Amino acid sequence: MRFVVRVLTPSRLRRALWSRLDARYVTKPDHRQDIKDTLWEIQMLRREVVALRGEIDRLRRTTPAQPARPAPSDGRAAEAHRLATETAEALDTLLQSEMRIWQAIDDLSARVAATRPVG
Amino acid sequence: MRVKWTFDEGLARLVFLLDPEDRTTGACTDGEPLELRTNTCHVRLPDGRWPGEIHPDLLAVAAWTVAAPWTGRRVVFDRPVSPGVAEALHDGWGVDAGPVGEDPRTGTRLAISYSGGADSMAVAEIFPDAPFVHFQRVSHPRVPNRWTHYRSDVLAGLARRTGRDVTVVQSDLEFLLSVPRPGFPEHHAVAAGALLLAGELDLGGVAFGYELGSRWLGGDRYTHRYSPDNPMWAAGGLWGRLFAAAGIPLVLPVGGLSEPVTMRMAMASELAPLVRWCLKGDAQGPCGKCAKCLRKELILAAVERRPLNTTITAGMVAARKWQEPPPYGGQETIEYGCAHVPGIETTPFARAAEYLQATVESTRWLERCYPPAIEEVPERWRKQVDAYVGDTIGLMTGDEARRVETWGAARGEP
Repeated sequence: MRFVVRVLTPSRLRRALWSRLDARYVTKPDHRQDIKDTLWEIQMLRREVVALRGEIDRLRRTTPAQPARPAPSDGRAAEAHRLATETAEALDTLLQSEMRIWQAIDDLSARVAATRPVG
Repeated sequence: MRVKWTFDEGLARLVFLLDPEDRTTGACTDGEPLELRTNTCHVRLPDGRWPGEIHPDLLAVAAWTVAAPWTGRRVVFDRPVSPGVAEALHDGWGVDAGPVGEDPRTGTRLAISYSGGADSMAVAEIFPDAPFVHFQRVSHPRVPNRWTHYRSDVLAGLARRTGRDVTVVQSDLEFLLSVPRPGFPEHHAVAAGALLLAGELDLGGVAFGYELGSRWLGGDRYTHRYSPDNPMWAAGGLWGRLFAAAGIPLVLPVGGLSEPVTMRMAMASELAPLVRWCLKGDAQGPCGKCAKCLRKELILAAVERRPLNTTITAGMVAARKWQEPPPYGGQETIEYGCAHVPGIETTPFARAAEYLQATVESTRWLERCYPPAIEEVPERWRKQVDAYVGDTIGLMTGDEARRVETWGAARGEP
């Protein structure tokens, strides 16, 4: 195309034509930026897919009834084990909730600070 | 994400606060789904190794090794980082990192991130004068430790007994993860201690024992295919660029060597009596019952060309993986083992051997070094790796290197 244009048209016309074309089409840096943005999107999506897959795995693991622990000879030991496991799991939930609550508090206070009139 | 470090003598505490767009679920760079349990951890340096001032780039990278999976759009550090580190974070993860305004740092020495396993011992063979930094897991004050079978104290004791310049760094950062289990949020978190010590030890690089399978063949949890652009370990990958920007590039001296070769190097080392890959064994020795012991025994038996010596049978949990069809992470090593261990058909690897159909001939490429791995070592240390490989191992031929470069191609997309 460029070759044909170069052979058949004088330089002024050629320049005018190219600037017209360039204005209509995306420039190389823009393309590069688009590609970069798209790659970033893909990476984010990949993360989300992975997270979702993890969530599915986790749910799948938790849904079936917990297999009974091998019957220990001592009932009190079994009870202590159950209590320890459940307490640890409950604490995990608490720790996560704490992070999420602080996340929400920080978000709220940032928004309040933004809406409050200066001075 | 907002990152804050606080310090007491010998102790660095990290807190990271989640922004609205941050998540408590995420993924490791290798794709493994992760879930965050809590947002505080600490790193303890031994007496006499406390650096006082730590360069902000080192603190930022150390924090990023635990904060990356959860961060959405931006990360704000508590002190300015160099433009190079901010750029590496932006280009690699697409996050805005700041504030910016610190001069970059440099260093000259190489430290080895030494776990005590065969691979890092092989690295120690190539660099006999390099100091060790050993990461020791300790309990987290907020997380009940239900994983006491992991004897990190035993591993730290073995590392100390090497007689080398060893710094044992204690940290609870693995307990940040609730899913899949306590562990490094990113593999690079093992270098937290080396990063904090980099100023004190004048480090210009940190060497890991990641071998051919991990670096080039998508081993462990990654793609199981030839991966020149491996995002964890390629020098030009996102982590490689970030560490380099902080003046402490990743160095993989055994990146071109297979596990059978690193095992042979470790066994020939004067440190060999101290090698330990088992996480459960006590001072007496490895447990001999876990999946890791079984896999390493296969490599050891293959290298020594002797029958497998194990009490584990095909029906046991530790051997379950080898009853299923491939692909396996680190499959090249299993192929080598199945091809070289006499009487494999009577071991827990019998089914795997049948699936893989590997022979001494088909696994010969694993005996030599993959040349591009040497090229990837930063120039300052390349000559030493090159000389060691040239003297004792040798390079792959073109055909053998092609075995690396076509690895996993037949399996297609997952």
